[in-house]
Amino acid sequence: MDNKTLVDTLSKNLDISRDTVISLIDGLSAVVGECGAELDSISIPAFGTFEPRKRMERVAVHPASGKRLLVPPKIVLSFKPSPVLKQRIRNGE
Amino acid sequence: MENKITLPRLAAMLAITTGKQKKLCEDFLKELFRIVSEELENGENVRIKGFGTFKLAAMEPRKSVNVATGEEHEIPGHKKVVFVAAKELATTVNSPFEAFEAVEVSDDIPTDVLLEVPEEEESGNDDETASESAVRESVDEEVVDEATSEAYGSDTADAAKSVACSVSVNEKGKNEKSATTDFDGSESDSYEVENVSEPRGKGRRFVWGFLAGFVAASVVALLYFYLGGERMENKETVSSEDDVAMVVQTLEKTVPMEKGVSDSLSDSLSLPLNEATGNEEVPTRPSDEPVYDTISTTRFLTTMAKEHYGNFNLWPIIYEENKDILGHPDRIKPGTKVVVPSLEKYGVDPHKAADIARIKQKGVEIYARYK
Repeated sequence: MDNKTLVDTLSKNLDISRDTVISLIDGLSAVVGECGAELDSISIPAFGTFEPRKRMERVAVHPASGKRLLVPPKIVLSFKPSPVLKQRIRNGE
Repeated sequence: MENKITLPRLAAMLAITTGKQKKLCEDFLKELFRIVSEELENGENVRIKGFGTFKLAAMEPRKSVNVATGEEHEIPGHKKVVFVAAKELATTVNSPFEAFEAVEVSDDIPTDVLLEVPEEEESGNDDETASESAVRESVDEEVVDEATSEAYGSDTADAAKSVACSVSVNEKGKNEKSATTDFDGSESDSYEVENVSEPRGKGRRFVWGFLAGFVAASVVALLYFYLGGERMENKETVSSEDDVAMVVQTLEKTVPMEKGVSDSLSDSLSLPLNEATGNEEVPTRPSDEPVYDTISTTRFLTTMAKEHYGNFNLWPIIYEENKDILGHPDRIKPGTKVVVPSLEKYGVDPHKAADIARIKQKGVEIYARYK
């Protein structure tokens, strides 16, 4: 399902305009990004958890130039599906 | 820090940022995640713009061991939910570390532990000079000892010799030690020299190789266009200005794509081929026309192997068929058109475990070529 159909379905089901849906999605991205930057995890019942994870700095070799680089630490957002969602996908196959 | 945020709290935060009612936000979130999970259940991927993509990744069946009982059992193939954050979201999440950039580390400093090496080396140098002087002293002593022992009679000479020997043994031990330290010092010095000189040499070699490749590519492209243009003139009267313009275009293409010289080369080769000789080639072999596929940022060799052969482990077949244009298997370029050969050509049955194991081995060999 692409973004357009998702927005259309949401606006139909909730009886709100497409612009409202788009602004809500943008707001959600902003809120999740803010929470992620503070390493707060967000859990959605029956869906899963968005967990920001901190990756430590490391020394890596650039594959093309062969130079050694000190890669800085970073935060990545990972998603852990809840057991309910896992079960539903297993049944849906 | 490291709190767990629940759905109502998320809805409240969303209401504050968007200025919408809290009730609406909560309904929206519930509906959004309900739709996403429903679509995932139906085996569909969901993309939310500015947020990310929820994908289903097929997991191959694999063997596992029960830790408690030690029994082997097979985990059946299943699908796994993968979330890939959109670029915008990923950068927002990473905003605390945004300012950092990857810094180059010089080759002389392998790890943090070896950062202390310079100090040790300095002390080693001191030892060296000390041991050198010690060696000289010991040599002098030996000479003196031997001289004295020879000067005395044979009876006393033995005892003196044994003493001298013991002394010299000790000193030899010292000598050996000092020799080893010498070796270490000199070796590390030579290594440093090598380290300093090698990258330059490599860089130069690379530049020369690149220049040679670039010149060859442009010459071949020019020749091809020239020939192609002549053929086209034979068939249809095409003004030579167009040819010149095309050559200029390809040159412009080759200049910015410094790394993709081979790509542009293949592009420039395929273009005139299709135009000039397309009419001749198509009717000669319509039956065994190879299947083509194009690499993109979401289509890799494994994706193609999974689609065409039903098993992603068979990607080395596609790689082998196109190894001339692909280069390193982990650095394939989006937009490259590859030929997907039939499985019969390589005599592979996708249902035979032995065949798949053989192809997997081939994959390992491919990676070994680039080590």
